[in-house]
Amino acid sequence: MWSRLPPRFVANMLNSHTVVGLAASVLLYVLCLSGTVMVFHEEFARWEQPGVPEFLQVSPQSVENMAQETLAGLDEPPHHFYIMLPVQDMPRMSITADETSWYANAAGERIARVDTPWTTFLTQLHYYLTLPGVLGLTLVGILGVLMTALVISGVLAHPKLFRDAFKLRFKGNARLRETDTHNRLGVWAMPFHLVVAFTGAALGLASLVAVTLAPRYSEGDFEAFFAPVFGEEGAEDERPAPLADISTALANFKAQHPDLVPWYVSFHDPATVGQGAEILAQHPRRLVYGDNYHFDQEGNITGSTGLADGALGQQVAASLYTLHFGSFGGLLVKLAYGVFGILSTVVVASGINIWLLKRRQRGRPAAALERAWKGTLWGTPFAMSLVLALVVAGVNSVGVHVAVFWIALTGAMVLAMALPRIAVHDILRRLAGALLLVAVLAHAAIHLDEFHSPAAWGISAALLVFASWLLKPRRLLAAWGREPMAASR
Amino acid sequence: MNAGMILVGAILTVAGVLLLRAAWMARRAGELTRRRKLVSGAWVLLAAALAPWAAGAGADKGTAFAFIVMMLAGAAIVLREGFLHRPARNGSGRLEREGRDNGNGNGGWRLFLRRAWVFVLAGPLSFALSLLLAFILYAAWDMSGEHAAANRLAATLIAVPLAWALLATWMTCDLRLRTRSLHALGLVVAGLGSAWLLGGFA
Repeated sequence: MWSRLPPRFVANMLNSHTVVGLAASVLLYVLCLSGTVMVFHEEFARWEQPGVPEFLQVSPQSVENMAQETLAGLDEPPHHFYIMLPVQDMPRMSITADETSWYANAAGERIARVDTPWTTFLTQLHYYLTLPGVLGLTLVGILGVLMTALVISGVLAHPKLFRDAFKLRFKGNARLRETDTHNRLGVWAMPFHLVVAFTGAALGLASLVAVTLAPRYSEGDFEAFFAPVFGEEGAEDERPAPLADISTALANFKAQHPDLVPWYVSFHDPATVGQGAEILAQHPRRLVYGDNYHFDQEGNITGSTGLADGALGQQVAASLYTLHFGSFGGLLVKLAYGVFGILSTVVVASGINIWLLKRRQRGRPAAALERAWKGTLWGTPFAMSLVLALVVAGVNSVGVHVAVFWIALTGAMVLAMALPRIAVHDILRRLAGALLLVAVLAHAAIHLDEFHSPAAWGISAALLVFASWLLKPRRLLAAWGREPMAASR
Repeated sequence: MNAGMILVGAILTVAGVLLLRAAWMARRAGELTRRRKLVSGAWVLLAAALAPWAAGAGADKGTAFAFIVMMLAGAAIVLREGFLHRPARNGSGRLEREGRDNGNGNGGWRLFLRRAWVFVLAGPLSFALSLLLAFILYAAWDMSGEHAAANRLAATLIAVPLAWALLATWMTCDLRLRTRSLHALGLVVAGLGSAWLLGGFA
């Protein structure tokens, strides 16, 4: 059926694929690369503070004590107050009062501020492209739409989808290699590309949909607009009251739902008459990120939001997050998402490479654009490595990180364009490798006495492997063939 | 989770992908009857694998796992093919069909305006149309069911990016620009009319 698509229709789709691909290329590449790293944001958070105790069991009384002591020590009562309980993906306990978070040990004693500037930068880059709030989220959502459109047009433009499913020629002329790489990796990872693009688009554009519809359907109240899916906070009553009984609530929850995993205990307006208290619990056999179980002053479980067993719409919406971030199956699924993330960056890179090669072979080379694209391909990991090195060196301002990232990336593109006689991309690649190497070694030296977290070892090892690949690429690339575009020179 | 069922699901999924690869080899060898049987067998295995996946990890999560294993197996096989491939002696090979090169830099203002209009069609106008769809969904949704409000909201959050992606694909395809513009105009008129009839602007 696929191979019988009308040639004219296929040509239409190819044109759409090219136009949208060119429009989205640079930012899509940044998003794909940052998203690949972002899959491991929990592991990076553990790497940034490798000495924090890790455990999976904590007594309800320890949680209660920690909450009471933290609340008593605050100057002002917080509006939002929550405790992250240790789970398999993040075997640490932390407590957050509005903007400040602390890690705690298994006894419930606060031991260190949560201080993860690299993970914060990654989040800023991938969620918002470092732009403020809704603006950044919307831009990322629009890129999700464009990536969805690319997957749709890419599939429809490919009448030999199944016939060529296993044909990949790394050795041979550059255009053949880039085309095969783009098509084969694009097709085999297509479900991933579609899911990640579409869920990213839905999450990114949700705010804009709310801005458009909320004035008409919920009197401009955004929380009320999303309430049918995510529930809403109760009415405020700020008269003082005891904090709802966390230890009884956790014990009751465990007795009623032995198969679920409590993940967060959260409060809205804690220790007031109008406080809202709930336990967010993971459902190990479901894609949903969890469901909220409300509890009252005495710790009785009073009901759930219904994200796991309510309306189909609630279940679908609660599955968007896990599907996007690959956080539904532990480390193995994260590793698979990491591999697919790398494939998606290769697909984006090869797509533009094909277009540039074709121009060159048709006698209309865009030499400056070729160099700028190479500057982007290697400038992005260079800029990210530079930020990581700054974080390890103790520069913790997210504003500085954002500025350094964009200046480094823009500088890489401009230098690559302006210096045709120098292989700027090659220098960028090696610099990225060197920066990563220095960052990992410095991080190890700084935290030598407290390198407890297994995730920290894993991240350091992965960064070292990546750094050595960046520093010695030719030997590895020899198996693949010559560098992109080199053959056409 | 049931590790045994998950293992069975993984084995069936990988076997399905391997059968697809065998079918591809059979096609190359010109054995079309054998290829058809192998393709059928592959799809049967891939579909059958969903049952143990669902039993082992839950229906939705199991299906996601099945896709992940299928993608990993396929990507691994095709990458192996790439590294083992020997180039033709003349160093060339048959190229697959590729998109047209739109990089004509000699069009001046006329070309710039055409591109700007394509941007308007695929960007703001397609987005406005997808928001119009959201209004229509909200106005037309049957709110009598128990879960109607949640389902309506989720459907709208999904429909907007999907509609925009489909419209952007259509508005950037290789039809005449006038035809695309007329399609967009038709959709705007139909959308505004539907929204008005359904009381979406009341």
